Amino acid sequence: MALRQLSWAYPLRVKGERLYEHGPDGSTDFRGQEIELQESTKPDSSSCKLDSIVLGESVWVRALPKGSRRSFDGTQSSMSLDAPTWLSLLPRNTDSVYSIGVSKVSYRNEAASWDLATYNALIELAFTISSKQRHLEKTIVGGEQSGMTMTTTDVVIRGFKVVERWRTARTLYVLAKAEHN
Amino acid sequence: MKIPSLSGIFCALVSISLVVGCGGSKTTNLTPSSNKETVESIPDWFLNPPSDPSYLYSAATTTSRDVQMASNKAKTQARTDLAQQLETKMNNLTENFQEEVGQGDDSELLQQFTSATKSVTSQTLNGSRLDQQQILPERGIYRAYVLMSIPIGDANRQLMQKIQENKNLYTRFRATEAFAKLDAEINQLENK
Repeated sequence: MALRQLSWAYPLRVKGERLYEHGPDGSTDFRGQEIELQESTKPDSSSCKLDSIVLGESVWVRALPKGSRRSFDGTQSSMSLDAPTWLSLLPRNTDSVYSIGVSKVSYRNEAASWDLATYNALIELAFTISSKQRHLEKTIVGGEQSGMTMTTTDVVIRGFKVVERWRTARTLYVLAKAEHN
Repeated sequence: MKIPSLSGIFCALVSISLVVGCGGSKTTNLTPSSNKETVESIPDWFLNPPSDPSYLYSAATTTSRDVQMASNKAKTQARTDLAQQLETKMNNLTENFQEEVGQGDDSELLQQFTSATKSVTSQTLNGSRLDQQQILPERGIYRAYVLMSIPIGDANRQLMQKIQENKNLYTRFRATEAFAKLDAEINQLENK
């Protein structure tokens, strides 16, 4: 999991599409998505070092490129009980694009839930940096209105990084950023 | 052998009918009717989106059983609205240009102008940004409110650049009031 997320820090091509259907009652229903990740670099255990720390009942593993001097020493901090500002107001920066990924907590596998939230943040970055929308609306005189929206993206994300994490009892939030293309 | 009493049989029948009656399929209502709590929790920026001559804004709200899905749907809806707003603005500019240029010999120029505006609309949506977001639980589902924006100044500059790339189009466009208006908008934003 750590190695997979490390590969996202290198230039990563994200191609995908999402389909939504709009009902006559104004509802919007998600009809599926297809996402493809094309990694430029696939680090393995020989090309990077793994650093681990035990926090409570969990073991956190950080994957770093070999030669990196960073470690977990002195990085422990407690999570704030109050919701962070970035949940409602994304940070603004001319050099970076930010996004939030969300996931429900799986009590059997919390690590996978964090991984999913990080993945969702990555995909949201792609659709934020560049997305094409095709929208079709159909209205029949005296009848109902319906429509479809297809959103596609094809972008190379550079410098993907998790900035901060936060959670409630049931929901995990990940704030991530990437270089502005 | 003891024969069950009539009251005992009656009680058993009532119990069985209650158990059978309690079953049935459950579906999640993603369009619940609003109540006081829902109305009071609507963010101010959703009811009164900001107004800035440099940006186009769009606020949207959707629901889902999944938190991320609620956010994604709302952002898609907001982006669609932004695209329609930008297209309306570009269409107005095209109509103004058409009125001044007229039809006939200049139809090719008009086509080139339309192509430039469509290209700008497509590129400008790449700069769409999530300004505010709020996700609230609502009777078993999640409701997401989002506010998205795109910088209109960039769209104007890109359009001007596209037109200037076509010498004939630029020469014709410069003589119109539509050009004067676009140029004034760009200068106003640059001098801000």
